[in-house]
Amino acid sequence: MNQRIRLAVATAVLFVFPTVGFTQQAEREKKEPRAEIKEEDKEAKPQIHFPPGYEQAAAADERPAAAKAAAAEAVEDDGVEQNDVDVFAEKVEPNVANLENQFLPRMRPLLKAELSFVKRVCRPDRRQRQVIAGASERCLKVAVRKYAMGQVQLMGGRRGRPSALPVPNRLIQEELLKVIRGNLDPRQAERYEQEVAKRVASRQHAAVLGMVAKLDNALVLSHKQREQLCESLSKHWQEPWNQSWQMVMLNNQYLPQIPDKNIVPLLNERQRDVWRRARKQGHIYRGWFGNMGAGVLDDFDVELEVASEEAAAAGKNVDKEAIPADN
Amino acid sequence: MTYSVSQNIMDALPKTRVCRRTGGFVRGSYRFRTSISAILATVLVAGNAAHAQNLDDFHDVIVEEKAAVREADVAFEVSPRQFDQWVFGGGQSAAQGRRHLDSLLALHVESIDRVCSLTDPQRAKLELAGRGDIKRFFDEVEDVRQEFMEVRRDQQKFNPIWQKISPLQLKLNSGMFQHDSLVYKVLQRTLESEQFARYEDHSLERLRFHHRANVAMVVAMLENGIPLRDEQRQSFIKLMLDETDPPRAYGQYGYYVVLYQASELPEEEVKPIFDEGQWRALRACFRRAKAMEPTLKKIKLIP
Repeated sequence: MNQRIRLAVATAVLFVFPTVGFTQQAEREKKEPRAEIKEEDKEAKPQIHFPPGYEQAAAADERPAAAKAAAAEAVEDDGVEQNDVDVFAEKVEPNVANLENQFLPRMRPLLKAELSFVKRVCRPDRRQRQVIAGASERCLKVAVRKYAMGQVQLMGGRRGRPSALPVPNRLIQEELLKVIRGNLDPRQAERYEQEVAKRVASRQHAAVLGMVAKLDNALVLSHKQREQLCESLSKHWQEPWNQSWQMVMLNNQYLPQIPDKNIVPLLNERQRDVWRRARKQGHIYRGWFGNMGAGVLDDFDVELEVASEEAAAAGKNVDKEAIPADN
Repeated sequence: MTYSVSQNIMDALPKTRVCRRTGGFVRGSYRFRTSISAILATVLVAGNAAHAQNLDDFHDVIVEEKAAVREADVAFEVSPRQFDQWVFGGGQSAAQGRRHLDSLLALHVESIDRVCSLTDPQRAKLELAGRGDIKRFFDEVEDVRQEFMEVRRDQQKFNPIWQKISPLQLKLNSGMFQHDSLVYKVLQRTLESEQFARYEDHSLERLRFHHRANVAMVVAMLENGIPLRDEQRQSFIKLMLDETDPPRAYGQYGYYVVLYQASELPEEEVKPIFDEGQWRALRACFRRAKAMEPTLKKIKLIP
């Protein structure tokens, strides 16, 4: 009986499974015909395709109706051409759409924080703030699309596979920067660019220090070796090292994969032996969403700003605690 | 019909039932998966299995298999090998863990030698003390392993054992030869005062480096939610490096120590760095860090 059972299972695995795949595929295609780009579509202006989830994104936009209307009016000429967002030109694959649904709510707080930062660095006037606010949703969607597509390419083993996932808040910064360059004074844009560059450099430096600290735990380095390794890793910085941050921070047993040429020449014989035998882990793609339970800076609110200015002019106090930063 | 039968197969196929929070596999499912592989190999060789069953019989058979798998799933069991992987990490066995600690001891003694120029007797005493620390650690591991073996089939009693495995991981990862070790005691007794002063300077410098890394990483992580201008970032980092102490040991809790210490700084020193909105957001983080105080005290990372 036992043998009979096993034989039956094996038969099913070999002969029935393949048909299941086709059956399910066929059923799926009945419901959602496979997206094919027609000839006339190729000629036409790129169509923005909003996958499932973007409706939710719009619903999550909690700005007052008046602010949305003002922003919509302002964004008509936000300086960003449609061609800049050519990731929307192609029809989206279902797996990309699914990932976008996952990442949109996770990247929205990053956008809020970045907008609040833009306010502090660029000090935009009311009109400029409305333009930025109006364009911000599109910036977020482009950033989410790029991140989701990067993830699919990375996991799918496709040709031209990227070496690392893009960093989410850097994607948002890039998109916002286009809006800022197109609409704000060049000096305002330059201030934002400089601050972003310093933040990127600071994070890279922190990642290098974190990796060297990990290596020190494993190899008991000398002071000179630590300094040399910091220099070597900074000089030969690899973008994928940006990905393993949370692992470096929170997993004691994680040892990053670093090319031997960047580390071995700096080690002594015994350390080399330990390094050779150590179990290194590849890059862990965890994204860059967490902030250790800190609140999210979220005070880029055009309407509240206007109310605050008007109240200040009238000599009244505005309840600034209404700005939801402490979540 | 095809679809429903296939669904049954899908349901009956290897279920790696994972123990909550620990990720241990249950033996029954593993055995079933192994048997599937063996059958597949046999069928591929024989090549005549296609007509062995009609689908109706097959459906009944699958129902039986599913029942067997469910029965196996009910029996909670965590593999003994899993214990080593939890304690030593990275899929290491106890023997590999021991080799790792032996290497670490050799590196540690070599590092002290570089700083203090040890004599042969001093070196021998340190190596002996280090082996004592490793033995003491493995004695603790064996004690916990005994308890683990007694409860590994009992889901009700299993959770408390995790409380005992966790300190072993912490000890292994935060530096085996730190201040509460035999190595440190022998260092105090064996080294000349001038040698010991050099060792202390070296240790402090090392801890400061780790502290610097922790502070930089904590600030970078905070900036995901609270971006800072460069001037603010530099001031905050400087304040934390100047006014907080390196943790007593290395490891993952170093970040919480940094945040906890930052939360303990006088408000009049920290608040001026930030604007009102940033400060409100940062306070939420400090509140969480303060809640870590009992844990950090328990594992002796803060006094």
